[in-house]
Amino acid sequence: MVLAVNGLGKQFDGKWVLEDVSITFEPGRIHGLVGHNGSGKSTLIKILAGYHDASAGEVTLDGRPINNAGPAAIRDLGIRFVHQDLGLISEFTAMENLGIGGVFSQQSGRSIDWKKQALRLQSVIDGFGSEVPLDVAVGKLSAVQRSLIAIARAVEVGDGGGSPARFLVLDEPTTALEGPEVEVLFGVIRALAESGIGVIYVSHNLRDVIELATSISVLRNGELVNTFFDRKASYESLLTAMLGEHLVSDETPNLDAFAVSRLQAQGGASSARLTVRGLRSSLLRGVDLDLYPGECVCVMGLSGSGREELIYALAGSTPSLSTSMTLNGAAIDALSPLTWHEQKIALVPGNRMPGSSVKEFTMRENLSLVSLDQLRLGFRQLDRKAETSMVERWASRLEILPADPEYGTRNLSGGNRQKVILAKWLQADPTTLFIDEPTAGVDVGAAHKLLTELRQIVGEGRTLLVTTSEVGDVLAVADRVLILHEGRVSQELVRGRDEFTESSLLLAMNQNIGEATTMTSSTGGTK
Amino acid sequence: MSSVAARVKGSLGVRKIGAIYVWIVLIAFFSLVNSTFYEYATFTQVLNQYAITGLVAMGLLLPLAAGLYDLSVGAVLGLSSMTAAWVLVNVTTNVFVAVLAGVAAALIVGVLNSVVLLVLRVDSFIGTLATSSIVTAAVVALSGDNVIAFEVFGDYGTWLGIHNIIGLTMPVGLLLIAILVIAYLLERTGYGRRLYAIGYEEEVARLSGIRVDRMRAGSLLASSALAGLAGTLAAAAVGAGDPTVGPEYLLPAFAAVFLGATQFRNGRFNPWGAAVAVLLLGTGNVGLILIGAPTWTPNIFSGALLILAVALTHGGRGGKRALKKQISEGSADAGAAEPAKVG
Ligand SMILES: Nc1ncnc2c1ncn2[C@@H]1O[C@H](COP(=O)(O)OP(=O)(O)OP(=O)(O)O)[C@@H](O)[C@H]1O
Ligand SMILES: [Mg+2]
Repeated sequence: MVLAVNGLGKQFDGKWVLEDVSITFEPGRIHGLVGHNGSGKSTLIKILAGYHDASAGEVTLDGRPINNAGPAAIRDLGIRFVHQDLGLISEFTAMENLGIGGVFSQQSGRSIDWKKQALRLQSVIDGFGSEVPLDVAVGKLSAVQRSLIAIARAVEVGDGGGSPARFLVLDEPTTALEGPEVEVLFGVIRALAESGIGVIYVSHNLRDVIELATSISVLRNGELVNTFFDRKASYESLLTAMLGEHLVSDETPNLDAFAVSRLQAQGGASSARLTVRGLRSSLLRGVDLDLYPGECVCVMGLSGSGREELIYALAGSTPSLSTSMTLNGAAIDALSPLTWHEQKIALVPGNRMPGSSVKEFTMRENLSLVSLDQLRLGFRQLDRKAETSMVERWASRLEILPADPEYGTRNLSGGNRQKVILAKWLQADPTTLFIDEPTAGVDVGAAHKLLTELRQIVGEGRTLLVTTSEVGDVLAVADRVLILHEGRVSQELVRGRDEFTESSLLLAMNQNIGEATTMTSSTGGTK
Repeated sequence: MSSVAARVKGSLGVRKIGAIYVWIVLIAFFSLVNSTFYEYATFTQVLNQYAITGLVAMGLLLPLAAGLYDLSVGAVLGLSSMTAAWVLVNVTTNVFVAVLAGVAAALIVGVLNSVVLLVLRVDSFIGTLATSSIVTAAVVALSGDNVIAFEVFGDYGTWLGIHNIIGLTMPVGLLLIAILVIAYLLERTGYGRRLYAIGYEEEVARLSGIRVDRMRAGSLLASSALAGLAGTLAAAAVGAGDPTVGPEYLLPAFAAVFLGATQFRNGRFNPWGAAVAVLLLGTGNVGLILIGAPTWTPNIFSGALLILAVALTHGGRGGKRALKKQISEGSADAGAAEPAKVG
């Protein structure tokens, strides 16, 4: 049972975004798919899924063309997908969710056989060696548990005919998962591969891909550069294949020396830009924060720790309460997105959050949305020329592709959309930025660029509060790290004072995992 | 990136300006069937008659751009026509005062709509349907369901319905001004950009510091005001305030705005498209009457056009394909992954 694409091509508006790509995916193997932003990964997957028709070439299963089969038929053939957003409905339980993407067990009267249903899902989840409650609304579960449910649903057989799962396609499944959680997921993926399922794994995290995949295909500008077989790919070889001549410089700014002097200068709380005491929300149980000008604070924590909610609660976009708050020394009630123009505090939501970008707008319209007042001519008229050149400036600075201000945001690839969102807020010139997962979905080269950009604006005296699940990002930009656990800050690591390495950060988080109530098992276990 | 040639070709495509092609076909068809159709008088008749619909449509653009339905414009139109007529008969024959009174009455409904939708948080479709019903009933109650007739050839009727320049009456001039003002607002200012952002993605607008409710209230007041103005003109056209006149403008105005959205701007509500759609609607309806079609045919024409327009905006652009695209975009890459956030 072999899934293959042969000479696959896809054209959008006369432009080839995928050209002559041939890859063979084998059962029981984990096949990585990597490439820079806009290289065509998602397009390839959407063709596999039957959402897009190929403009050239074909998709075959055991030599039989299946590219005109349509999404339902492709599911029946045993090719299953876990998309980036998982496609779960938060208010539904795991079992109810199974009925949406999967197939319900039906009794003769076409009513749902919940018992049978529970057994089926339970048996799949049991196979993962993890415990996931099936009768709780999915929204209340941790991120790993939700990922596992989505995977379970995808590989679930369904008893209304159709074939068992043969291939499983995972698009950036580790987004928003912290180190220890990623390991749980990897265990499950490996076990699935061992049971004979072919896994296609899309990710920008090259180290993850190298750790997991036996073969790795690299796309660049829609073309297949190379497929590395038998674990022959190294980080450097992948990077070169992905970015071509365009290599990322490995030098990271030396933040350590700087950190010590800044620590000494900081001194009393009087110089703090923003102080918060006792911040509470649905996940936070009293967080204290002091943020200073010219520093970048990163927030880490397992899912459910409050990490994912902190900046939204702080900025007042999610209901929250605090005992006291000061901004530039003056007491304030609360922050709100409405007052950001006066307070110059920007909330930059994650790429996939509602509220990040308007899909129907062009790149230009999204990018300038908070800077419209900078573009005012007489009679409140917008200066379209200045607007366009502003967007072009950012497009070249952050290498947004295609660099066309009139390009529809809807059609931008995930990573390029993320760059537009960041550019939008950077252009607005805030003094303080709360940023959620700045590099999620962004390729290695672009991530380096973004992080350098962030470090530069910190150097200009701005304050950054960044929530992230990427240890690499933290090492590249953070002056301080706060580890959240069960709604409180459990540990603070300061660069220049504490050990500040990948292992020390992971250790700090791992100290929590043993006691974490949401996760009962951290090993995937192979059968 | 598409070349210049491709862009020009794209902007003349059926998908972008299909209504203009349909309009030309209609003109050709009516001209062939009835030799009296292809005349300047027909042109002015279409404009003079449909300027009122056009004004209502221009007003509707603003709340629709901001993501709100305003179904009360028909009732508002009836209310303001009655108010203007009542002022003319009972208070003063001053044209301005009567028009202002009509618009002021309309604005009261605008305020009511804002309270219902933005304070009480009722869904706009249901909310304005309800206020529409209340306003219609109130007008009937206050007037005893009678029309208020006034002297058609008095100042009011003459100024607003009869005086003309090259055959075009006051409503056409007002419509022209409205189109230009609304086009400027929506397409040339930050105000318009923010309004569209609210309509497309409220959360983006909110996080961008846009005062969502305030802007929405403004759009509701504006649409009421324009519907009110249209009502005073409708009264002038027939020399009477008529409580039941509203609904006859509601459907065509919506049809025009939705059909207009399929023109020029890739599905975005816009004044140019709405203006062309009003012309198309007017030409069709006037033409049908001229060739002696039964009087119920114009309603069928408007209804069919509305369905066509909405089908083109939502289902359109390739039907099933577009749907597939939506699904894949919604899930594969761009989907909204919400971390367990409890409101
Ligand atoms: N529906 C579409 N219409 C037009 N162009 C599109 C469409 N979908 C994708 N594209 C373009 O095709 C190219 C490939 O996009 P794709 O989403 O496959 O990239 P990707 O490899 O998934 O990138 P990322 O890592 O940023 O998610 C991009 O230039 C993108 O702008
Ligand atoms: Mg992608």
